[in-house]
Amino acid sequence: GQETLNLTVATGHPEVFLWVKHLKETFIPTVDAELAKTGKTKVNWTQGYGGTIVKLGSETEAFQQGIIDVGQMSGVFNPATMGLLNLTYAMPFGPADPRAVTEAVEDALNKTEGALAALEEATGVVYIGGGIAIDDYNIGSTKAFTKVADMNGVKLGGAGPNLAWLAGTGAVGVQGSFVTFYNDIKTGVYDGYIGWMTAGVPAKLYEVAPNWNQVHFGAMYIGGLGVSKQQWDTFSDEVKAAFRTAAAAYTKAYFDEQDARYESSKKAMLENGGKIVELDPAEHSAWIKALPNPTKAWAAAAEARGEPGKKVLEAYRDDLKAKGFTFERDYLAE
Amino acid sequence: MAEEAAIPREDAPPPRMPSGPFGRVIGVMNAVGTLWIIGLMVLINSDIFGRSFLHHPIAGVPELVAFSIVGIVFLQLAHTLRSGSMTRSDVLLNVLERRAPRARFVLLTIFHLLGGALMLIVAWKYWPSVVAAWQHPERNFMGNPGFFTIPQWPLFILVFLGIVATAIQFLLLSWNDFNSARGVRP
Amino acid sequence: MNGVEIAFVSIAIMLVLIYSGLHVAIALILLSFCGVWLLRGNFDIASNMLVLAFKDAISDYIFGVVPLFVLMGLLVAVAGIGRDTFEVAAQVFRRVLGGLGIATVAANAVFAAITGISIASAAVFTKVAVPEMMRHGYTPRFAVGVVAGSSVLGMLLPPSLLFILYGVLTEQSVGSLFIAGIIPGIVLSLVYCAGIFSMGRWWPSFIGTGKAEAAEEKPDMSVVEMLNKLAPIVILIAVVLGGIYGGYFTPTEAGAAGALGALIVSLAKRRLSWASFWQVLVQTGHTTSSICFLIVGASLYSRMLAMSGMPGWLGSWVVDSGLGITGIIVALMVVIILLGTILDSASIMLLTLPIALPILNGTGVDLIWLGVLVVIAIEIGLLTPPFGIAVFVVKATLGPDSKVTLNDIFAGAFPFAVMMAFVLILVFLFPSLATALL
Ligand code: NA
Ligand code: NA
Repeated sequence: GQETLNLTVATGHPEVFLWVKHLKETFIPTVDAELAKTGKTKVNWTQGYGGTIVKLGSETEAFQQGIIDVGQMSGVFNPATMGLLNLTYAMPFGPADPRAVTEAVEDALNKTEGALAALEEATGVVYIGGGIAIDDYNIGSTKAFTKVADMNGVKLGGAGPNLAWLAGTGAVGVQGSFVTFYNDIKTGVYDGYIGWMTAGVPAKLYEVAPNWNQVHFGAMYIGGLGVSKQQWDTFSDEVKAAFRTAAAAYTKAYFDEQDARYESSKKAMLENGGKIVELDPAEHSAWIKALPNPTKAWAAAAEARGEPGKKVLEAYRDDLKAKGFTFERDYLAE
Repeated sequence: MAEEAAIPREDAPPPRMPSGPFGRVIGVMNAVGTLWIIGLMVLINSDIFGRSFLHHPIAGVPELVAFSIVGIVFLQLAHTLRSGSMTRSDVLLNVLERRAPRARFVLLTIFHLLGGALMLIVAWKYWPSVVAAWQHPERNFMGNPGFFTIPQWPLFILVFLGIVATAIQFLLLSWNDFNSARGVRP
Repeated sequence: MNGVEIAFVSIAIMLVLIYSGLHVAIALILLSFCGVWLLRGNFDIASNMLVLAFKDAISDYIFGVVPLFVLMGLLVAVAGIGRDTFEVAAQVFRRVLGGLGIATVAANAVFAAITGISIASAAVFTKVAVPEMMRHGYTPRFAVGVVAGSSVLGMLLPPSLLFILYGVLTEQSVGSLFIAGIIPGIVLSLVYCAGIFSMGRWWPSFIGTGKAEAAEEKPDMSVVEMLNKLAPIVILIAVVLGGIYGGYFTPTEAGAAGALGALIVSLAKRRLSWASFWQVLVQTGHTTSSICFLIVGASLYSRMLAMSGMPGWLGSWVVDSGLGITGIIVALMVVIILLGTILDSASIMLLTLPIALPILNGTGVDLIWLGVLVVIAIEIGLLTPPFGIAVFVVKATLGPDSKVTLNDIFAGAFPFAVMMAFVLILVFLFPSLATALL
């Protein structure tokens, strides 16, 4: 007869985020369609997005405790447990193409011996692919930045790890998030934010911070999909294959829509008074040169957890280099 | 006048001070939580001041605030329960007080026992987190390496103590209610 | 039993347990625990779920500032600033039946400008307004009811954390949402005032003897005296408002700035001894602990309901009923108000919007207008039993020595919930109330 799997899939972010939307709209339907081919197994999904079942940042523990079976593995939002997956935040000023970044990260994770194994062992979550990255991080602000000196004394909101990228520019980093950027910039608590186009434009941040300063921190890989190891080990090969196929479909659907959104967001921003500001390339290089090495603390934290932090970064750098992108500064050679 | 009695007075006596060794323990926990609130006020105001006038915000304030509120709440929970400040409805309890005082105590015995049992389950299941956070601080912290981090083990220990103290307080209340029920003529 | 049945049975049992006098937070935690245990058939998952909520439910900046808003309210009360303000208000409104009630509404509307959460308004005005109203002969029910009722203005008038959350979930401009809330907020204040005035005329037993006699015990205050009494509160509000709109701090940080300001004012007025300061701090702690423990329970309960599949079931039920757009919006409001009886504000939004939005998207419904409707409907839930957070905050802030029961507060707040429903209908019928300023 047919076997039924009861699985709970939940995320901390709501469905307006593409990485949640396609979990529901692409990943789950693809798993169902794949399994329907033989009809041996059927999944009975319980879905809860937007923190209704698991709060943002508690995903790892929810996986471990059996509260959720399928969900996001994100290093950005679970830095203590899945910090290995936020490696690109330690390598700022990388490629602006999110697909290229994701590919290189997944290559690096797969090729570095023990990387994913250590993560799986420690967290009890199996990385099944489905990697995604956010489009190029830049700075939206009330002021235009054509040279680094323009940033002096300007207060910028952002998540903790992004604020570290401002060191040496004279800009003042203030911890904040997309939830409060609009209001805080409007009242003047800070004058801009570090973020990405496909989130900033829907939040209409160009209304309060019209200058989109092209500082090109790069696209950032935020993670992939995971299944709790307890569940995964009970899956048949057919089910495992269906999940991996669905994860690949998820990545593709995510990027296709993100690309479209990127173009429409850019258009909407320019039509509504936002403008793109270019930073002088020589100034940009000086900034990168003066930045305190961003990989050191990250790699040390990964090594402390017993994960090959430095090796993963090197593999990532080399993979990109082989594909034609060279970091302006080799953080790892220092 | 009944209505006058309902007025919460500004000069109301301080919350009933618990007595006995356990009372002193939760009194100290409560006092630490109380001082922590002042600390929180100072922290946020310093961040505002540093950001606005010195161009130097304090790193990690969101993490510290999130850390603090959990600590404050659980340090004070047992004392809050003991002082009668934990929210409950008194519709039925008030009716019973007049009409069936013994039934009221029986009900309270059961309810407080339930509260104690539930908190004991939480404490039992919480303990592994305390151990893990102590043994593996590298996997149990708030914040981000390179920007700001704070280990979770001190918080987990405080929360664990708070949960245990609240469980004990529930069980003590249950025991008192049980004795009162026996003392009231049916 | 399937998930939806478990959810409905748990709601019935919760009603019984809460009214029987089990601590509300314990009732919520217990039912969530049993619910998950039944749903997943696993004791460990159910108990680990509790542990996770104990760790993460209140671990947030937004809850971190709760004690500071409470502290600000208590300091304002202890320093006699609240009393002074109300003496002036009593003087001004003394010819009006229910004048202090109207003064409370007005003061709340002003205070709404410095807070983004209704919990803060409820805590502050419980300390500031309730004792004064009772001293002037108002019934306890009315006094606490008007405070709980007008606390909702804190989230309807900008800044408002609920509007921010709605903006994030629907990708609408937070700035536009804030502006859209202004007229409905003012209309609600006016409806409250009219309601209080009418109750004074036609239902005086509900309000009490709060009329001219109390004010006439004392000779008239001179204008100078009135200004003198008002100065501290005006300074405090000016500092906080100036701080927020001058870009010095955020509405959430305003709790810390306001608490510090209130502390300085009370020291300057020499109304604060070490003993009373300590007492204020201890009560701040107890109120915070009580509110936050409720939030842990509420968070767990909504997680259990999400697992049960009830919200999705409700959504498909509404969709399958073949309603038109208007019908769906009405159904959404009804579902929100019903969920409001048992859940907290943010959970309701997170549970209902993802179901409603895809249905309403592309139908031309103005999502800003819908946001105002959703926020008003959700805020009604702050006042409705068995789970009404504004009512619980009033109760927690009154402290254990008060004889005012939870039931008194729910009863007192009920007329205000009805008036909110009336304003909800007004905004539904006249969308320009929300969109006129945009
Ligand atoms: Na407000
Ligand atoms: Na309610």
